[in-house]
Formats: sequence, structure tokens, C-alpha cells
Amino acid sequence: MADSLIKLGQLATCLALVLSLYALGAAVLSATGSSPARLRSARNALYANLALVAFGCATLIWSFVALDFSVAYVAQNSNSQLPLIYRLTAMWGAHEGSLMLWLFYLVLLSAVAVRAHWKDHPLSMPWIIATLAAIQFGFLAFIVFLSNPFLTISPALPDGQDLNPLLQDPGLVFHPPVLYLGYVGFAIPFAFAVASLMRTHSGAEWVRAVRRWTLFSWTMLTSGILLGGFWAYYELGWGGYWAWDPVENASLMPWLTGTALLHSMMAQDKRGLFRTWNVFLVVTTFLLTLIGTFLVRSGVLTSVHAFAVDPGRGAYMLGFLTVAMVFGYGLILMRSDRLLADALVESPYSRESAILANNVLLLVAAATVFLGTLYPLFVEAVSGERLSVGAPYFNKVVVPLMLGVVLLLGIGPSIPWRRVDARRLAAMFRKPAIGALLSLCAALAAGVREPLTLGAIAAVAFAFAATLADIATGIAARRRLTGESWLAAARTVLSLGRQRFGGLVVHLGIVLIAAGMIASGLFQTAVTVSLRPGDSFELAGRVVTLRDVSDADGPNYRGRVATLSVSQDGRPLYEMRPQKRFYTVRSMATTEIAIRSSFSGDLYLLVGEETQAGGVTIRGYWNPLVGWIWAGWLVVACGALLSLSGTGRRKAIAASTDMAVPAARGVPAE
Amino acid sequence: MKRTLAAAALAFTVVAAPAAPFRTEAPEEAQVREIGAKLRCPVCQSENILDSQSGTAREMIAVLREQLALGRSEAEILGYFRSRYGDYVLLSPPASGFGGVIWLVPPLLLAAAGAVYILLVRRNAEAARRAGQASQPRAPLDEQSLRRLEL
Amino acid sequence: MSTPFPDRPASDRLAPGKPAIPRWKWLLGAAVVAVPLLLGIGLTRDPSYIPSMIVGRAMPEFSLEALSGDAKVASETLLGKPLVINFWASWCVSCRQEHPLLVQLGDRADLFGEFGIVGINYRDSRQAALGFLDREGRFPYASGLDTRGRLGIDFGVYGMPETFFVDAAGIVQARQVGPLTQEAVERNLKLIGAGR
Repeated sequence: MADSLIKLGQLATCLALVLSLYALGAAVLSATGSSPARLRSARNALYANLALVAFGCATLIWSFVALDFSVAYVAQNSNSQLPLIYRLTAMWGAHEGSLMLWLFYLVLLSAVAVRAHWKDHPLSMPWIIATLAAIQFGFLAFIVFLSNPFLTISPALPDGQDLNPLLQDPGLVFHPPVLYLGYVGFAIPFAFAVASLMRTHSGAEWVRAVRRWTLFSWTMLTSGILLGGFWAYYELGWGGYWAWDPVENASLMPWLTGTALLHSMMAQDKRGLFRTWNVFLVVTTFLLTLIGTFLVRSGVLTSVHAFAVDPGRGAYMLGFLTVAMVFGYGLILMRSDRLLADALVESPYSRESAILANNVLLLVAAATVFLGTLYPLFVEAVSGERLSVGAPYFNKVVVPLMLGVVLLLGIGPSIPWRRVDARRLAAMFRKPAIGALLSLCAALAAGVREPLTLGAIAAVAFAFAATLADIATGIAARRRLTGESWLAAARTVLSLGRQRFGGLVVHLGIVLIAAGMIASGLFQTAVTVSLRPGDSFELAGRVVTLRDVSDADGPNYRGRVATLSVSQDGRPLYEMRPQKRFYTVRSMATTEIAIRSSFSGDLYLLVGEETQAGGVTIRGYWNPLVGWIWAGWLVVACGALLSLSGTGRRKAIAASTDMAVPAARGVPAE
Repeated sequence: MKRTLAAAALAFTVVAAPAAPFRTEAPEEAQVREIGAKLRCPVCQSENILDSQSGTAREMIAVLREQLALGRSEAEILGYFRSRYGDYVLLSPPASGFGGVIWLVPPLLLAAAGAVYILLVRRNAEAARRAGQASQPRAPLDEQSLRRLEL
Repeated sequence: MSTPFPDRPASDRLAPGKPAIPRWKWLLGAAVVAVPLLLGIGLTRDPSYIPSMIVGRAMPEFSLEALSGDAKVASETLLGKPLVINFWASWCVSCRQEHPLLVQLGDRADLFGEFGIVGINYRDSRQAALGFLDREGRFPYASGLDTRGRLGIDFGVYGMPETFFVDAAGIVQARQVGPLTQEAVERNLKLIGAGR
């Protein structure tokens, strides 16, 4: 019975492969507009694919839950002692299953997008469906022919090989699903952009249609990246939340271009600027999400995240990536002339100019990360030498750029469109600038001398003050108008101006994240001591005392745990138990870090080598304000939700201002 | 129960305090961390020698400590490992040869992008002025929001 | 077929001095060619391969405790004729693959004396190492103990097993990462002047 279930899952996936090809063909043929029935059938094929792939995933998950070791993938990634929660989520713990997750999101979002926009975009729909079907086909072919999770082995193994111990952790439940949703989400704006390029008549801005898709994908990508950092920091014991590992870089690059896209789309929407640039950005962001998939599975670069290496698969993915690249960029090269002429940036002191500066900084950062990640490959191909480009390089080079972005973040939302008088601009930012200066003085007084650190503090303080001021000004203006209480005014303002205030709240969250990263990065204190039971050391004003070192074995590992008690001013506070583990089946050593989080920072302890005399080396870190990163992420999520919930209000507002909107020029909406 | 334990712990601390030695870290530990963060573990390859679990990394840290005890400078220590494993073991590319090129790339990119920005804005602003599209300077956004919210 | 949207004024598009194909298009086109090419080349390479820094330089000196017996395994006693140095360990799965070949090599060295061969037991315990040899078969030559791996660092060892081929003058001429093959042995022995 179980055997036939998994076979059904495989059949469903193969069927989806055929249907995706059909949808592609039917959609392209219906692009002339002469057969709506054909377009409808293409759409229905996409809907069917959702059901088929969902079924396929369900059979796979069921095989895990039922511990069906006749399925090769289940045997490789689980084991009879695996807890239920990991049986449910182990599907995406290795290569084949994670591709199924990607595919599932793709068919899900495709169906939702087609359904939601069916009525509003009849002329673009053929190309949207065709693009999405083509991407689906690419992934389906890969899964069915080269990465089949439905393969069975017979006779079935008595027990499985166990899920990688590093993955037996709550992080596995959240990080890949959220991250992949961010990646796949950018396929929708990509499809819309392709449609706008394929059509010879470019009507209403494609950016307006996909604003919420882009914001949604960006939010998921941000959350996925931060969840990964959270996981690495709290559980995996790599000593930090970001290591500039090639796969991490692969997730950062589309995030950087996606952030640039979000802002420049706004400029195109409001004022008709950056049209060619935006199609380039959206194609690039989509391609970067594909490059990420490629890098982690092809074995081109070494990474802690790498799945098992297989150059055959790598070759296919490279082929797929190349086809997507040639098609996407080729379309731009050939058709960008047909796009509407851009409006003009009228003054360096304008929102448009600030958005352009934002794009410049983010794209330089993205290009730097891209070139830095691939440079070792280039050098090896050209000269055979091996050098490495690691964390020290990226930190030195990318961080200043991001500080520039943080500074802009404070300025951008308040600058009016078109132009503003330079003196007026300076007056607008007097208060936040004073705030920045005050924090600068405080930092200098506290002994900080490094110019980069000082710059970082000033930028973050400025952005924080400016963003808060923006929000407060809006609420205060409302109060002046209606005399409401602060709370009522805030509620009204936030619900009326969802897009604007959602954006401001997101900015606030980003500033909090930046503050957390700067503090924990630049003001970290560390200590490494060799202790015997009874010895103490001091860290961040607390006294840490080693009580003992003892055995701590688990179901599939042997371990040693050090018990340390932490006290402050003589008052005992809590105990911490960092561990070292050795997983016997996989022959893997891991460290279990002990962390104690508080508002002002984290106490972070690792246990190291043990000595003959019963002593042990303890490495302790004090990471200031790390919690602000995760808190900032929550703020970002709230702001994004607020902005996403904004609906048709825009149309009324747009109609009432005196900005020229292309749709008002007598061009039909579709 | 917790309170009893806490009290016991406190008593233990108070009683044990004079006897419990206070350890401070050895002066070279900070340097070990600093230099260790610049060295890649050649076996696991994706981590520096401080974070890596491999035995080779641990031995490299021991070598690092010995070298520091001998008074070697950071450059000499990095050179020691470089002569055994090549540039690959340095997480930060060296400033000469191929490594130097990648250090030049970001400032060059920024300069190029900055130039594009300046040229674009300047040309655009001139064109706008010529086409007579220049509008009156806008009021700051709070007044705009005010008007908008009055709808 | 819907009418194309009004084009940009011709004067704007083909202004004198502007190239027929804008520069950015050339750049984009170049990127479309260069990036897949680079990634394709990357697929053919082994990303974990580290080139050897010691090939072409003098072999590091060493004096190690022997795995069995009291005599030391020292570099100075091994100089003077071509030398094969093999790093192995009981925990190294691939070492079992090359084991028979190494035993053969050891016998050949004994018989013809055209080269010497020595093993270095890397980051291992004497007990485990002896147990490995009991199971797989003893080497007909001595092995030194590099328990902490210091000699391995000096040789630049990163992937077990590794074998170094040193000529009579003490210069390392070749390094093999991974289990030895007959073909690799013959090729490298010739390099150090011990081939047939």
C-alpha cells in the first residue's frame, strides 16, 4: 500500500511535467488573443499542477511519517528514532525534497497569481502563464529525471541513515520554507515583466500589479535570511549569525537587488521613471534566486550549506540558468526600446534622486558580493591558483555601503517627489541630525575612536530619529486636524496611509536590525579561559563560575556538559550548560552553545578542550543588542503586513493629487 | 525548591569566594581570536579555524599559540600558514597579485556607479529645465499628508 | 494586432554621437556570455582541491616516535634515495582502498631498494592504528606517529590519504591527494628517479 502511494506521487509529478509543457504551448498559442478557450485550458493546467504537486509532496511527507524505508530518500534522511516533528519536515532536509518544496511553492503561487489577476490583465495573461509554466517545466524536468525523491529500493532497508543531526532542530521547520517562499515569490513579478516586454502594447504599469507580490516576496526573503541567522546563532554553533558563506551570499544578493527593486518600482509607479532599469532589476533578482539554487547543489563552491555534490545535476541547472538568462536579458536587449520613455529626474534634491542613490548603493553591494563570491572560481580558471575571499573581505567592503543605505533610509521617505529646495531639505532634517551628533558625542565620550564605528553609530541614530519623526509628524498632523487622542490619531493615520506608514515601520525595523548588527559586531567582548571546577571569570559585569564537567549522553550521541553558574553583584542569577556532542552514527562532532539573552545583549558560552587535570577551556562572548536584530525583524514583518493590507485607497488618492499618472493619459488600463 | 538551591548556591559562593580563584584570559588569547578569524580551516574549508570542529583546526590553533609565544607578528604567522597551504588558507585575499584586484573592484564599482548617478541626475535636471517641466518646489511632506488625509 | 505605443521621437533615439547599440547593451550581453561560461568551468573543477605548496621545495625535517619498536622515524635517516611518504590513519576510510598497493610498494622497496617508503600515522592513536594494521595487513615498512598532526600541517595535508614523492636530494616532486592508484604510483616514481 505504501509502495503504491509513493508510486502515485511519482505519477502525479510526471503528469504535472506533461501539463506544464501543455500549459506553455497553449498559453503561447493563445497570445494573439484569438482563442480565450485555449488560454483558459492553459490556466486550468496550472491549477491542475497545483493539485498534482501538492499530492506528490503529501505522499512524500506521508512516507516520512510512516517511516517507509522502501523509499530511498526516506531511508537516507530519517531513522526510526526521528521525532515526529522532524519526520514531517525532513522532506526538505536534503536536495531532492527541497526541490519539491520549491516546486510546490511555484505551483501554488502561480495558481494564486493567475487566479487573482485573471480579470485585470487579459492581454498579459498568456505571457504570464507561459513564463510560469516554463519555469515549472524546468523544475519538474529536473526533479523527474535527475533528482527523483520517489525512487524506491527493494528490499527495503531495516532502518534509515538518520537525518543530519545539525538539521534535527526547530530551525529546519521554519528556515527553508520561509526562505524558499521568498525566492519563488520573485517569479511572479518576473512573469509580469516578461509579459510587459513581450507585448508590443505596454499598458498600465506592470509594477503596480505586482507591488504586493514584490513586497511579499521581499518580506519572506528577509525573514528567511534572518531565520537562518537566528538558527545559526542559537543552535548551530558557528559563533555568529552571518559568515559570508557562498550560499548565504546567494540569498543576500537577490535580497539586495529585491530591496532596490521595491524602491525603484515605487518611482516607476508614481512618476514613470526607471522603466528599463526595473525590468532589468526584476529579471536579475529572479536569476539570482536561481543562481542560489545552483550554487548550493552543484559543488562549484564549498559551503557549509552544500547538499551532496553532483556535477550532472549541476550541468542541468547551469543549462536551465543559462536559458533563463539568455531569455530574460535577451528580451530586454531586444525589446527595451519599446518601453515607454522614462520621465525625468528633475532635481538632485528629490525622492527620485534618493531612490536612485539607494539603487546605486544596493547594486554596488550586490555586485561586490557576486564578484567576491565567484572570484576564487575565476582566478582558478584563469591561473590555477587558489585564493579565498572570506568574511574579512566582505565585512570591510559591504558594511560601509550598507551604512550609506541606512542613512538614505532616514532621508528618503520625507523628501517630496520632483524637487525640494536644498535649504528646506536641510531644515527638515535638523532634529535628526542633532540626534546623530549627540550620539556621536556619547560614543566619543565612551571611548570609541574607530571612524567606521563612529560613522555607523551616527548613521543609525540619524535614521532612527528621522523615521520616528516621520511617523510622529503624520500622527501629530492628524491630531491637529481632528483633536483626537494620540492613540486614535495613530490608528487612523496608520490605517489610512498603509503604504506610507507600513514603509516607515519597515524602515524602523531595519534600523533596529542595523543597530543590533553594529552593536553585536563591533562591540562584542570575548574571553577564553582555562578553568577547573570552582574557578570563575568575569564577562560583561557578570561572574561566571565553573561548577563541574560531566557526561551528557543522548539517544544518538555521546556528550560532555560543563555546568556554569552566573552571578552579578554577588547575587546568583542562573546556570548555563554548554555541551560538546559526538554523534556516533554519522561520526560528527557538534557544540551546543549556552546562551542567555537579555534586552542589552547575549551571554554566549562554548565549551572547548578538556585537560587531564579535570579542567576545561571555556570561550565566552558578550554580544550586545543581538536581540534587537530579531525584534527589528518583527517590526519589519508588522510594517510589511500593514503595507500589504493597503488596498484600493491608492486610486482615490492618486486621482486627487496633481501628479501625472500614465493611465490618466487615455491609455486603456489593459 | 528553586529558592533553596539558590540559597545554597549563594552560600557556596560566599563561602567559596575567598578560595575560588579568579581567572583572567591569557594576553595572547585576544590575538588568537583575531588571527584565528583570518585563517580558513583547510579540511572543512567553510569555517575559520576557531569555529571549526576538525582536529587539524585545533592543531593549527596550537601552532598559532606557539608562534605568538615566540613573539611572531600577525604577518609572519599568516605567512607561516600561507607557505604551507597557499593563499587559500587566508580568508582575506592578499593585497598583491590576483588578491589585489578584488580589493580594487568595490571602490572602482562605487566610483563608476557614482559617476553614472551624477551624470544621470545632472543630464535629467537640465533636460527637465529645458523642457519647462520644472515645477515649484514642493512643501515638506507633513503638509502634503495633511491635505491628503483631509479627503 | 494592437498598435505599437508611440515610439520615442527619432531625434532622441539616434542623436548624433550616440552609438547605434547603447553601451549598456554590450555590457549586458557580455555578462550573459561570461557568467554561464565561468560557472560551467567551475563545474569541471573540484572546489575543495588545494594546490600543494611543498612540491618543488625541500621536505620538512621530522623525527617521530615509531608505531612499533623503539627506533625513531627520522627524515635524516631516510634521505639519500628517492622516498615515498604516505599519510594514513585508522579513521580514514579511503586508506583501506590503497592499502594493498602500499604493501606491494613496501615489498618492492625492500626487494629492489630503488626507493624508500615510510608511513606517517596522522592524528590517530597507537592502539587504533595497530588495530587497523591487524585487520588490513601490516606494512612492510615503519610508520611514524604524528599524533597531533603537526607534521601534516608542515606538509600541507588537508585531505586523507595523501602521499608525497621525494627525490634523492630531498625535494618533494609530487603529491597525491586521495587513494593511490597503480598509474599514479608509476608516474610519480619516475619523477623521483625510481621508476622502471
